[in-house]
Formats: sequence, structure tokens, C-alpha cells
Amino acid sequence: MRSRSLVCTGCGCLCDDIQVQTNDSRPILIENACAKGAAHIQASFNPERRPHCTIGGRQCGPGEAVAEARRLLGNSRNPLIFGLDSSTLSAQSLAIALARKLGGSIDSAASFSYGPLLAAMLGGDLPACSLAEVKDRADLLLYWGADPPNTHPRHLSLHSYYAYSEYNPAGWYPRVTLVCVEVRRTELSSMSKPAIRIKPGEDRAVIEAITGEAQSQVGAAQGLAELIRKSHFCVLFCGLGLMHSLGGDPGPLVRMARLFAGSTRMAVIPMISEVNMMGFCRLLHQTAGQVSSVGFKDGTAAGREHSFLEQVRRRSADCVLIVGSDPFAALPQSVMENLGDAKIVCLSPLATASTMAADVVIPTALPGVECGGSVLRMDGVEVALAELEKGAYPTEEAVLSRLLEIL
Amino acid sequence: MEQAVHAIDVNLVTCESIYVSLAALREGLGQAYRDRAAVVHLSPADMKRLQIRDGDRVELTAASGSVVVAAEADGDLEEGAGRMPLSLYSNRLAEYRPSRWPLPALRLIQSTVSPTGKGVTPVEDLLVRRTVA
Repeated sequence: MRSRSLVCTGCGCLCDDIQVQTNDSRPILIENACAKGAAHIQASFNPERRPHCTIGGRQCGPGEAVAEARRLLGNSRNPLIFGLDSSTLSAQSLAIALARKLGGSIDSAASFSYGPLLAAMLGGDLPACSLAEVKDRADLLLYWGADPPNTHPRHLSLHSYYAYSEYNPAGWYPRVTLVCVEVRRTELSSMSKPAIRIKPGEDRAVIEAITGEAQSQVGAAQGLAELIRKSHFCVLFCGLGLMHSLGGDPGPLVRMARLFAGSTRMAVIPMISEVNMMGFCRLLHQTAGQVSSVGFKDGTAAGREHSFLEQVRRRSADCVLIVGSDPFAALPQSVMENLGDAKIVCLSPLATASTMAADVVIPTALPGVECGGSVLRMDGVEVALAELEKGAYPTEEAVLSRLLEIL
Repeated sequence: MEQAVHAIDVNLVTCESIYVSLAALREGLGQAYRDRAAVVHLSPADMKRLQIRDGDRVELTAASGSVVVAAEADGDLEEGAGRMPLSLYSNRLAEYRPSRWPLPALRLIQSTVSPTGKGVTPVEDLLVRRTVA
């Protein structure tokens, strides 16, 4: 029996206090992890949750599958690499190099979630801060369109409200105002004071009422503006509910941050669920000047036409390499049905709707459990992942390196 | 007794559910996933108008498709509002029409709800079928 410290890769929190005891290479005790984190770690030890290595549904060895992946990608006129939000930084670099070598496009789920927000942050239009700065310093924690008990179960206890040194489970609570803006009742809204309830799709109107751009007043806006104005350091935890309501446009948030810049320190932290979306966006930004949707066909170009969604909608991608992602579960089926004629190669540590739809499936090691590496947390801080047990599967890096070598 | 209506329009808000995530992590897209994901929460007033009770099946129909799920009352919801977990079920109803909205409409879906005697849509019917090479 042995004990290992682990960074959990079950969600974007990247909890770094996990202890796992293993016996005969199997976890027998997982300490400090939430239910989601524990299930994530256990999934890698459950053979039924791992995909088989297949070509056209027929089981094969990884060497044969990689050779078939090479053939499909090599024959493709318009290859597209998608995913990588849960891959290590080194796997992401290799995937970008592969897209460049293929003259194809590369994109991640950021293009239909946090991409524009991250671009605004990387471009300096939106102020950011680290989660370490939040603790004991921020006096207003504002969760907007975010539901951490369901998406990031330990976010409040490890990184925000309950992480303050004043917090004591016996009943002392930190002197910080916890506010949420939501369209429905949630666990978080029951502990927030105040919990601001808005109508679905009303987020932009609330922000524009705060910034004075709106023609009419929205009830919630005045009180919220007052709370922000009175605070010294407000951290806005921006959830997917807010991003979708804004149609991905961070402009209203940029204008709101500017409005308060003179009186309040305001910082934005995106509530990213994927363990390394931030890393992929930063790497691509360094490489191509854009955080998502980049094409390398004739030089480097970026734009909507290179996005996964648009290429699928227009049926322009003829071969898609999916790396550590599950778009067949995450996106509308009416869109994904357009991939009927494309060839799909899927690198995945777990069996998913995407591995079921793929022509070639190459099972890979689960980062943070079966292999190490580095990732960028939601606040941009680099986190080193440990390896609990080396599994039987190759790493994404090994498969991508091999493809780069033989293509 | 109030006259039952055959169908009502609702604005469905979808949200991530840790129970759906746990079911998928532990057992994949099996029975537990179906039980957690194939649910729509409606206002008590709408449940009454449709003359349905908790657990009764309803068919949700939107521009992109339809699914049969179980209905449950939620006193927090107003008439005409619904809530469902983000899953393969809600994604069957979601659409992506960039001329209308730049992102896929995964989070807010306009749908019609009608009582049905059909069984809950099997997860297998929600998987995109492709003829693999």
C-alpha cells in the first residue's frame, strides 16, 4: 500500500490537496476530493469506462490505429483538430504543430464558451487576478451565471468564500460579501446575500443599466452597482450562463470594469470547467495571435470560418482529430449530424459519445492520474500534475508526437 | 375541474447537474445517466394545466427535435418556464443558427411540452449515428 499526493483533474479547480492510497495499483482511499473528483479518478481504473482501441469498430493495437489515423489525416483536404481543453501544455503544443504541418485548422471548446472573454483578458481589456489574491483580500465575491456546487464543487472551499482565514466551521464567517446573479434558485443563491434573480437572457440589459447604456432601468442593476461601488476589491466569477446570455461578447463586461476602475479594484476569473482551456488559449494566442479558431492552410489565419462549429455546420472539414474532448455530447445533435461523411479520429481517456461516433479510437492516459504534465488553471497559474499510476495507455503527447513524425 | 390543455410553450433553462456528471463518470451513458438527465422541471401551474403529476412523461418538441422525459414540479418556477439538466436530452432540442445567435442555444431553449404515453427516449436514440470507415 502506498500514498500519493495528487492534483485532481476532475474540473477546473485543480484541487492540489488530494491524497490517494493505492493497493496493487488501485485506489482504495481518496481523501479531500469531492464526489466529482473521486469519480473522475476512479473512472480511469474502471475498465468499462475506458474505450477500446478501434478502427471502424474493430479492435486493434495502438500502432495500427495510429497508422490509420495518419492515413486519414494525410489524405484529408481540410483537416481539423478539435479539443485539447483537458490536455497538458506539451500535448497542446504538439497539436498546434500538427495542425500547422497538416495545413489544417485547430479549435477548442473556447470558441463557443470563454474564448472571447479570455481574448479580452489576454489583450488587457479585462483585469484579472489569481485565486491566491482572492483569499482574504477581495471583499466582494460576485458569481454571475455560475453554479459552482454543480460545476466546481470545491471552488468556494478551496479558492474563495470558505478559504478565507476568518472562516471557521463553528460559525465564524469571513467579512466578505457573497453575491450571485442567477436566473434560478441554486445552492449558491441560498447562501448569497444578496442573491440577485434576473430573467433568462436579461444579463446584458442588467450590465447596460449599470453602465448607463440602457434606455430603461432594470431592477437588479442599481443595487448591484452600489455593491460594486462600495467594495474595495470585487472579483467577478464569470460562468457559462453569463457568457451564453451575452452571446460570447465580453464587451459589456469590459465597459462595466472600466466604469468601476476609478473607485474599485475589479478582476474577472472565468469559471472554466476544463482543466486547461486557459493553457490552450494562451498557447494559441502566442502562436497565432488568436485564442481559438485558427487555420494554417495558407499561412496563419483566424476567424469564424476556422471554428469547429462553422466547419461542421458547413460540412467543410473532411477529417476531424478530436483530442480529449466530447463534442458529440456537448453540442447540439442537429449540428453534429453534419459530420456524417467526415472521417473522425478520437484520442480519449474515457469512453464517450465521441468515441462511439469515431472511425478510429485511440485510448490515451488520463492526465493527472496516469501521466503528469503542466496545465494553466482558470486564473492563469501554472499547475504541475502528478502521476498516480502509469497505465497501459499511451499519453496524448506520445500519439501526437508519433503523428507529427510520420505525417 | 379545469380543462386540460394538450400542449404548452415553455422557455427551458438548462443547467449543469453534478448528478448527471457523476452518472456519466461512473457508468457512462447508462441507466443512471438516463434517470438523471431525462427530466424536465415545470411550474406547478403548468403541471396542473397539463393535468400531469410528478414522474409522468412529457414530450418536449423544439425546432431541432423532440425527446420524451419525465416531468417534475418545481415551485420555484413561474408559468411558462422550465428547467432541465444540460445533457444529450437537452442537446437534442438545442439548435445552432448563427444568423440568429452566435453561439449554440444550449442554455435557453423554446420548447412545446405535451403529455405522452410514450416511454422515455433511450440514450441510444440520442447518439449521432455514423457509418464508420
